[in-house]
Amino acid sequence: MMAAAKGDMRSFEALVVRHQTPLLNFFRRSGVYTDAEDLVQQTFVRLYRYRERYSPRAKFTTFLYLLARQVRVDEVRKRIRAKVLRERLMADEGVEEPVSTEAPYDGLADDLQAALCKLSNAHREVVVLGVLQELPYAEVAEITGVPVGTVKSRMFHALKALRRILGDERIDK
Amino acid sequence: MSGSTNDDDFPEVTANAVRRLAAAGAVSPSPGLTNEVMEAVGIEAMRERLSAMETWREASPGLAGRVMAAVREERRREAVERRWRIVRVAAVACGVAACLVALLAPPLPLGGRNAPHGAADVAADRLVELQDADGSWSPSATGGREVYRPALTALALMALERHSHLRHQKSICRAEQALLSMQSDDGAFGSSTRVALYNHSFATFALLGHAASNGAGISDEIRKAIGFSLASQDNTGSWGGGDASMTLWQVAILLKARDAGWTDGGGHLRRGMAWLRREGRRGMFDYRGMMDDRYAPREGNAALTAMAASRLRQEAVMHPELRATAESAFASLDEAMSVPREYYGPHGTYKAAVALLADRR
Repeated sequence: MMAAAKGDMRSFEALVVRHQTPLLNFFRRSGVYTDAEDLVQQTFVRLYRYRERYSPRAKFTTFLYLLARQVRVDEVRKRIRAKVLRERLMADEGVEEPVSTEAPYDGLADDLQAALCKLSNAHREVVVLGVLQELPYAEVAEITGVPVGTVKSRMFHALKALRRILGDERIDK
Repeated sequence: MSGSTNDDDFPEVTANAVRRLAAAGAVSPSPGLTNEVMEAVGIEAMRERLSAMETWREASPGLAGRVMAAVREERRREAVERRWRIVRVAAVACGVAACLVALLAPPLPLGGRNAPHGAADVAADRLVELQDADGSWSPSATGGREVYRPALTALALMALERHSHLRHQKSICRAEQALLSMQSDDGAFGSSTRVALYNHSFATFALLGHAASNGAGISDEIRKAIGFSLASQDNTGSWGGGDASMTLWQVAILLKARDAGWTDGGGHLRRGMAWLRREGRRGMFDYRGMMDDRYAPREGNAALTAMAASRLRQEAVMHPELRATAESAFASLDEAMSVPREYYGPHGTYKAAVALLADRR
């Protein structure tokens, strides 16, 4: 990363090749069903823009996921704004919004994916980063900006909720 | 941990865990504690199950290439931005230096307008390059909206007229012809959309200026254009439904026309000036009437206030009752410009600087 920060494009490309797949999976697991590759691209463009802010004292993945998390937050806000606007326009025109044909995320088994979607953002985030991306608690804490103890607590409650949701669904079936 | 990933194994895993803990003397198998242990074991199993069931999705083969293309574009944009930053700093420094020179140096001798201006000449040459075959300028060629073609052509004509009257005479004549060809039967320039008055104001003002430069009087076309202006005036004396911008342009047209021999038989100019005087009581002028108050803060607009200050001062020579409003506008402008604000933009800052410099001379 230090070479990339100095403008070495080959080093930067090596970073892209190494981290593109984990990032792609991060976005898909975080509930971005479409355009996940676009978000990967945005994250790397942002990484290039902020390359000089990277300090070698921090772990590179922490820096990268911090940026990815912000890209995801921005994307969610953008989609909410677009949705509100679309709904207003539809209301003005007296047209009903078409049912979404967005393909569901296919990275996890259906029941697990559905259960993940039912978690709050904060809980889902620690599960995605800590369990699925296999990042240590300390790194998850840095990325999400909360103490390690809070990450552990969120993880406990998130997994407990997942278990409850999956258990409930099994009973329903 | 047993390593089991199946929910069906939970009771067995839990029972084993409890048995082990109890055997070690760590716990006594009370019902409450059993539940806690059951929960902990179940959660750990869930973690393992999540890890085991998720599948890794590979990025598409072209993703790295697309990312690198976007990064290279970002790199290029950065380089351009860095260059512009340097240009902007240099431009501000030049602007400050130019203002100081303008304030301290004696006025330019007459005829200086036709002397080489360096940057102004380069800009004029560029304008001529952008001129269309029919003599007009296309807004869409530089990212604007085509509906403003008459206004843009008029602005280009004014710029050439002012800075390179001799060097680009042919281009100026073609621009004049292009403008005249855009005039409709009612005297207006451009289409009859809501921007018609803008187009009309710029075009009429430019043609009046061109006629004055050539020592010509008011042609039939200009007379028709003035007729359209008079017909467009509101009952309040303003133009564009109480829009200071529109009104200032129309007042400027009538002042220029009066200099060329037109007489204000119907009192249009007088009523326009009276509206400006009333509007100017607040000190600043803005786009009143064009925007809803909820969205347009009523804090005034530097460009419009500067225009109003200049027009009012010019007219106050003949009508002293306008002097107070002109002074109030200059005072507001002076005060407003002492606080740099993004809201005013380059146009407002330019207009204000010109007005204030003229005022100090």
